[in-house]
Amino acid sequence: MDIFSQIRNSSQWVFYLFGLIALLAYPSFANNFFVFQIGALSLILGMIALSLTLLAGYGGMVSLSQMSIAGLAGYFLALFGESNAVQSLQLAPIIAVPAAIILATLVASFFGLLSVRTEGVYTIMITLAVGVATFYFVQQNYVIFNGFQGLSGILPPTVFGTNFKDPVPFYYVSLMCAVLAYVFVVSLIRSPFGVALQGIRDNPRRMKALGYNIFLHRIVTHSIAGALAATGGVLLAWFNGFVSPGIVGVDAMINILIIAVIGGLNHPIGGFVGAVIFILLQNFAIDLVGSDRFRLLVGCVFFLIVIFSPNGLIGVGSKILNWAKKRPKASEDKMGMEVIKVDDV
Amino acid sequence: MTYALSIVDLTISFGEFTVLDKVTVNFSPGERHAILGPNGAGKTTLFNLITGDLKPTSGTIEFYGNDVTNTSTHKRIRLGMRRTYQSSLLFKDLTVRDNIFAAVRGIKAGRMKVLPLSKDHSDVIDTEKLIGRVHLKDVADKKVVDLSHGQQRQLEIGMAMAGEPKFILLDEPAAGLSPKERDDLVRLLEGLPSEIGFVIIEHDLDIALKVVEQVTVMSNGKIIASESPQEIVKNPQVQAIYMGTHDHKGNMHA
Repeated sequence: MDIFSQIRNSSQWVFYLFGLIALLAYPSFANNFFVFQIGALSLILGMIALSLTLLAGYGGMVSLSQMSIAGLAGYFLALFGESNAVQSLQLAPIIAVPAAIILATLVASFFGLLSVRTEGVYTIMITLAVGVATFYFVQQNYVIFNGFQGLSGILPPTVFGTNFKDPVPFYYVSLMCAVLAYVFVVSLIRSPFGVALQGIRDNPRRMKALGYNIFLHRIVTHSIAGALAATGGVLLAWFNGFVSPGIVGVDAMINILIIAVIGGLNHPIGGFVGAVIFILLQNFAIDLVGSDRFRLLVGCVFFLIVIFSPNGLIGVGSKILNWAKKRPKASEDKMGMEVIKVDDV
Repeated sequence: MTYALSIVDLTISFGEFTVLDKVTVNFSPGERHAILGPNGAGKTTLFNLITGDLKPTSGTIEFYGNDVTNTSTHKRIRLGMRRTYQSSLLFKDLTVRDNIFAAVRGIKAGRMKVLPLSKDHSDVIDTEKLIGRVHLKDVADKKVVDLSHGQQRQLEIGMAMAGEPKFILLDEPAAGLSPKERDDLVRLLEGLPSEIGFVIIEHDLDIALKVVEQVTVMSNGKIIASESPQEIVKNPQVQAIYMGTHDHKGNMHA
């Protein structure tokens, strides 16, 4: 199938190879702040935004509850694994991490079940509602989630003497998860499932008439996106060392949407690009405009992207590449004919 | 006798307005049947009810002996029912090949597979065969948006032929086609395997009467005649409808 062979035949491999080498080499020329606070956090938020890209960009389902899934995965990790929570089961990470991801994925499937029969703005409203419900659920439930204070002491494991809380090892764990998630999504959107998902996005009625159970397809997509967000959520819990209701708050939910839109929803790399821009703005724009006006600046960037490039920064990149390809070569005139020098005649 | 499609007393109303009124019609396996009638007669509504896009107010629909009145659309399709749409509902940004592939996979159990298929997978081979059958090999890699209207219609039919269809509902497949494209369409329909039955809604009588064995004429949500093509053209009530001498209830004025 041509849609499957695109990636194999394309020169994108060169781009991917150089990108991967740069990401692997990044800790060797960046300090710990840039490795941990910028690099690792961008990869984590990029993964959560990737889950939204899959849902919204390829499935046409704009879900605001992806951060809720990530946050819940963090809570489940704190409850199952090693943390300061008195109610924690203190299970080994090899059990606690998969258990947290699976449980959060089941929650994502349930959220999907609630929202898949809606379209457009109604999907946004339902996922916003379940996201807000999740926030109040963890904030008001003191027995399990410790209310406003949340759960702390969530630390990554130490494996073969390597403490994964250290910036560089943690960066590489985040990078490995992000690369695997990215490759999985790229493969998924070219698979029969992914082609059908894009068909359902474009024309659900037609897909039903081709024999597809579109609601089941959408719920499974929510589950897959949930697993991606949950993996990001586990890493985020390790990154912060704690989980609290703020992680699943409306601000955090909107941030993921902003990240995905700034990067671009029509390519899996968009979430990661958006996350880098967002984290850089979050860390350095405060020095320029002050902490009170950080959101104003993010809002302005969001506004400009939506107005001038609805496909995000990836869309800007594509436009520049297309412009460069279409630009006539120096040796050609405006009609595309080769210019013959007088001396050549 | 088990009919391919058996529709009994099918009625659908929207508030006070009855669009289809106790329509009863049967189609045998392999039968080629045309449904004619003026705009607003309820032909496409009948198709939408048969495929499950709409739910009837009353009446039953059986497909090869299975009561599918309350069955979801995708399950009816998996039983062997197919349809094309009056206005093209293709995936314009995908290639011809991907459109056909989506149709081939739709009725297969592996439609949820999350890994790409190899080039020698049976579904990939079936896709190529189907592209050949609807004469779209030369444009297989083109996006649908770049196809002519006639080619889009051919693609619609190709998608309806995916898998092992038992019965196809064709909603105005010749609409907007050039004379040459119409000839191609007739050849395509005549070349369908004899075991595949179809019902065609068509305003072009030359095409409709050429490819079918039986014709049903509808007007104002009711069936007013069901005869062979030779008889239907002589039917005075049908002539009256097409000559515009009937009232709004479908009754002929003498």
